[in-house]
Amino acid sequence: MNVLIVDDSRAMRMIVRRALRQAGYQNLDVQEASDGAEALQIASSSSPELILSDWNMPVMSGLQLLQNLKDLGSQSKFGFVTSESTPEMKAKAIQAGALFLITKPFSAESFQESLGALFHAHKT
Amino acid sequence: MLNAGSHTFTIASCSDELIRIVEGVFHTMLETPAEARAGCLATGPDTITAVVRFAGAWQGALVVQCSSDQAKRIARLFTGDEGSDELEAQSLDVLGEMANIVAGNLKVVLPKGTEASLPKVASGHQVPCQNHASCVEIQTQISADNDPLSFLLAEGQPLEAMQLERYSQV
Repeated sequence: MNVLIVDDSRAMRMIVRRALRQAGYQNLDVQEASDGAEALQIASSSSPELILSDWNMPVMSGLQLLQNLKDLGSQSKFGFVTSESTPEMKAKAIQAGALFLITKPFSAESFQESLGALFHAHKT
Repeated sequence: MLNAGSHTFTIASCSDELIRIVEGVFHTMLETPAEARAGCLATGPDTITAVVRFAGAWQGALVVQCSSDQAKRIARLFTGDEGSDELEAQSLDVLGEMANIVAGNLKVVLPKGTEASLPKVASGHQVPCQNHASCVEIQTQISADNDPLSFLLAEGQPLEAMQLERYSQV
């Protein structure tokens, strides 16, 4: 599976990669972007199957990224990995088309819970 | 006083939540048990400071501070990366991200309509809050022989008087 990790913190992108590995998702083709605008460029050219994005980023937020992807007709599955998880944000995320929201701090189990069905469907 | 959802918000009421969030970050992401408690960090020229500002319904800031050595230890734990070439830059990134995570989680107890900024990180001696009626500060340590790491939530703009631009901002 081709996965795009979007976060303005390089350390956090490393940690998301590690959490994916620890969750058992070993053979992924992972790309990285440091903000929504860079992610939009990468997504336009490589159509990742899954995008894991931070919410609060410079240049273009994760929510703006998701809205732009939807406007462009992107079929990429999209989930937020973010430190903010108020009910209002969760509602906005789902309304915009996100499949899940993983809250920082997270564990490998957080990824298994959110991605399990997605990866199972991908295998079958 | 402001209303934060179903309860009245005071900064003192955030202390337990701040402790719970910080302990959760250490337990979940650093896989290190850490006990947080009230305390005040003595800063110096070697101090690294990460700040997330709150604006909107409530104005304030979360300030995370520790020594540069402690920041590097945390970066190693956080990323699992031992690469010495990038550890210093990574330690600033990690401290900023830690401030971002704690601030983001705190939003649940802050008045509705409060927005958090992106984190900023600076180095140098800084004393963010001397009015303890308008702030709560807690400390934690990775182990007993390490320097403490301080998390301070302050009402108002605690860093304005500190001329943050004097320091090498990242």
